[in-house]
Amino acid sequence: MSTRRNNKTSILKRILIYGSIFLFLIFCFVPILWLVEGSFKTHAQDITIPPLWIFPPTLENYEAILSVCAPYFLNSAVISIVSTLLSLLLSIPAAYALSRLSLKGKDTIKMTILSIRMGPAFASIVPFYLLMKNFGPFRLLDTQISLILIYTVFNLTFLIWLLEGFMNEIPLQLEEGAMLDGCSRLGALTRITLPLITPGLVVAATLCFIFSWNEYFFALALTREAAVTVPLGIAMRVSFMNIPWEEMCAYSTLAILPTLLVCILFRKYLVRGLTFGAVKG
Amino acid sequence: MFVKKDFLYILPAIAFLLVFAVYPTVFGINISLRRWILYYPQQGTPFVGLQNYIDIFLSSSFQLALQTTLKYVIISVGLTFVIGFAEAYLIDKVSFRGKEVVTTLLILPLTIVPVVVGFMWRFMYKEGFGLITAWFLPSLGIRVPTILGDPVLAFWGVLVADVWAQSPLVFLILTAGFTSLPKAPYEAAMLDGASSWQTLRSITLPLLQPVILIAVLLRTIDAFKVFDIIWIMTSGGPGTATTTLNVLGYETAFESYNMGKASALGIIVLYISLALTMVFVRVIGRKKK
Amino acid sequence: MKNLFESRRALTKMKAIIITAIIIVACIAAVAAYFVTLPSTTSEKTTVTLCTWGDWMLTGLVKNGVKQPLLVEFENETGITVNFVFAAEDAIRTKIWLDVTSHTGAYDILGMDNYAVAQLAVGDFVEPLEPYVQNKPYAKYFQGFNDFYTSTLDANTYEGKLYALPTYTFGAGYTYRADLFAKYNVTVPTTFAELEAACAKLAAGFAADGLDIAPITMRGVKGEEPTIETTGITWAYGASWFNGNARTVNEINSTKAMPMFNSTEFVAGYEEYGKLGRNWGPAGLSDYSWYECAVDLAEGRTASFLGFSAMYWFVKSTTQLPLTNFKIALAPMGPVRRMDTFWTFSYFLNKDSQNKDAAWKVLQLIASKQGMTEMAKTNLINTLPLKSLMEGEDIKNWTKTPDDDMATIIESFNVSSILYAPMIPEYKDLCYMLGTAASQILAGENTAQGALSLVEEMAIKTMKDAGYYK
Repeated sequence: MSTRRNNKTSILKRILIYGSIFLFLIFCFVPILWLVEGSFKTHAQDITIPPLWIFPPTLENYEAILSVCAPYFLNSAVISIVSTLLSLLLSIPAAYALSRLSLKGKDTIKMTILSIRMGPAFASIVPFYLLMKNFGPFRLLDTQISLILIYTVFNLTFLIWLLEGFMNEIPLQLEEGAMLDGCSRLGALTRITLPLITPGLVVAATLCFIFSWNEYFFALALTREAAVTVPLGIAMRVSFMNIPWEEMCAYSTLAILPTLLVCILFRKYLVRGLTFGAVKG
Repeated sequence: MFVKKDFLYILPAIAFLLVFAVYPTVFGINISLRRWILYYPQQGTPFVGLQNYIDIFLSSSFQLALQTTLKYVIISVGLTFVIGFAEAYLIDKVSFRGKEVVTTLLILPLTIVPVVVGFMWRFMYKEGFGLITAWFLPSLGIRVPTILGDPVLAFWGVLVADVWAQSPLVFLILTAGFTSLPKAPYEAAMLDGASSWQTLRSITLPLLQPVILIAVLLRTIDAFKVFDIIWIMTSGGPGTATTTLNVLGYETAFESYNMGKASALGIIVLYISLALTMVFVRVIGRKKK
Repeated sequence: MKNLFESRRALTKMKAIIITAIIIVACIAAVAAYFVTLPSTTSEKTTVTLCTWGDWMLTGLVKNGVKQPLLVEFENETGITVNFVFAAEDAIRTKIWLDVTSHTGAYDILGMDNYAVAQLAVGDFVEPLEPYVQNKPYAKYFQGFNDFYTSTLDANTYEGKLYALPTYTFGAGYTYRADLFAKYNVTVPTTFAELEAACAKLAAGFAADGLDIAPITMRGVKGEEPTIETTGITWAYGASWFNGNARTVNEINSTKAMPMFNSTEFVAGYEEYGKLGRNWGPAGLSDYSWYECAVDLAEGRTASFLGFSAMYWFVKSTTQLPLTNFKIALAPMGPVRRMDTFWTFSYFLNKDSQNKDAAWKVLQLIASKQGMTEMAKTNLINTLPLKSLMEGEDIKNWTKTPDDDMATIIESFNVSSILYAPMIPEYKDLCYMLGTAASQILAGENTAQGALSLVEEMAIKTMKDAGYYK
């Protein structure tokens, strides 16, 4: 193996790799840059061609929305966090059971769970509305609870699959080894399996949070004033008279921040990557 | 080694799903067999058997929407998967300072509220001063009179916006998969002098199979359910160019107020996406060795 | 020994998990207790909730969430608190229909448009208003029906009963850039033939000067939006929706009148619409909503709008161009009649409301002369259904409308009415089909003949399913 030949091909490869990454970055990031910049523009600046990347900024869009949108952010935060926690709490044991269980109907169970997600919203909105209107003794319309419950349902449907997939990659021997040492099943789950699938858990939690935060249609149907979430708040600014594009940019920039925070906080856990080459061999 | 009592692990989740998912399902099936027009409450909900289903299957709008939807789902899933996989693969291969920043930036499109994604791309496609129509495309030498006003271009325009927003989903899931890959097989492969294409095909892809399956399934289901982006950008138009089954369903439920038909359409869409999902499970989800 | 130690640690872990679970459930319960609305005891203050997409029409009452003096005074006098739920049009429609279908009654007053009148009336979801007017008028705000243009009340009447009070209306108008017409020596068209000639002349002039301006714009987005204009044009060409121009459920049933969407006249009207749009409209017309048209006109990218007279005030209230550039003319005449684009926006009283008397008071405030005066003052709205306001002097100052334009608007009201459209619950559904056909034609997906044949098929099926023609 000649090192010189390796260097040459690896330089070409490197250019290719970094170049592609750069292109993807441009594809993903430029529209978002446009969005964020738009939040600091006036309408006249927004429609000039060639587009203004450097311009004197204004805060009028933020001023316009900040007075109204604080409760929406609070609602969205509570709903997303509680729904994520609840989903994880319910799905981790379920995924574990499915992963380790050898049952005839396992695939059917999995498919049924997934199929709950497939029901399109327009068909389920009326029954969910009626369900929340009279949930036993509770009137859950226009409450955060209704959205938490519904989002948990939809999050569970894919979380169970996702986590089961990650858990399947952990070989049984590790847990069996731990249990031979006197660990309980639950202990094996929490102390062996979960740490090993941390990247998967992080992804799962992030996706739950993002889905709950960004959901619009059920929020529209089930809330009135008290439990309005951020996406609905954005849509409610659109009126007959006006699509306040610059305001929407400001709103969306603020809306990105919490999910961005979640991503940043947990990115480290993802990149760190935990391998278990010792056993896999 | 699994004791019966470990069934309890799955019980809370199942119980939760049963409580909240059974009622809408039963309701949906029940209503799909009835005629329920919202503004004729005095007519009640008379039983009509399979009439709603027959009407839907025979209608040209359904057939057209079905074609449009299948086209849309297959292309959307394909593109998001290719892009997401490429991003995850490349990011996994490199390490440099700021890798975390780059990864976070690549995830950003997923964090934008879909309603905003719709407005944003609609604005960018606007004739005359949109970022894409008036700056990006002309700088490549392409001039189009309109994107969202042309049936073919509107379809692709909406698709691009959706792919842009959803590729990070695949990227995220696959990155988690990549970081969990064991080092040993790769070290062995390098010793054997395997090329990166060979390693990709015979080591990476098989090891990632469960994660790939999840990503594809999730994307497929979500692609069937895309609504906000399409509705905001084109309302399903121009004409019927971007009317997917989901858009058709919304129209049936909230423009025609025909809930019976809408429920039937919902069930049909559910079975179609279930069928497609199972195809993917067969193709991708081969049994583990 | 080791086993005991391990299992004790496992037990502690188990306890930790159980405790966390209990804490989470407790949090949820706390949140639930805080937000779950239990049946309330009688409260001191009565609250009325208004749900509409027309927030821009209520800026006299509430602006950007801040209650205006007129409303504050009302609230103090009556002890009623008014809450507003605003959002985009289709969002509000969804909310309202979920509410009325399930008889939730959370929205006491519904602000909707004519599409909803027949549907809400037939479904018995809203209160007929005449009994309220007989028994409990709030004289400070409501002085009877004489001041309303009859056409606006007719549009909100179903089978002889009035269900809503209108606060805003369209007549049939054509808004144009007077300065551009003068520059290129174009006469204001009065017929469709003249309209085509005007567009051609403008197009030639713009091309010669290298200007990227579209001579005309109309609504074209898929859905019910274009239908007011397109069926206004078909009306001008002598077409009717149903055979013999049957307009009500009774008429259609008694004469078994079929839809006439593929009649020669109807197709001719759509062909005219398609011709104007494809030859002289902006490129993205098949995706244009009301909003795009207005913005194009206000920002100078188009020279005229074929549609309702209300576009005129909206453009003037948002444009940066000199207001004198914009003028309004009557909608053009077709071979048989004048094009009509009549429409109203009105407020209904929810039958399931818990506070009907209070809601009726608020309704009277909204539809009062004081309320509409604020509309004119704050938003330059000059298409109101009250004669005394429209024909008075003040409105011209408030809305910066020159005398001749104001006269044109009043004239457009006089020649315009809801007679060009049927008054049946299926109206909205049919509008949706017709509007989609319009969008198809503009996008070149289909010819007028082809698109309308499809609509005819679907319409016949809808009518049959609804029980007509039995």
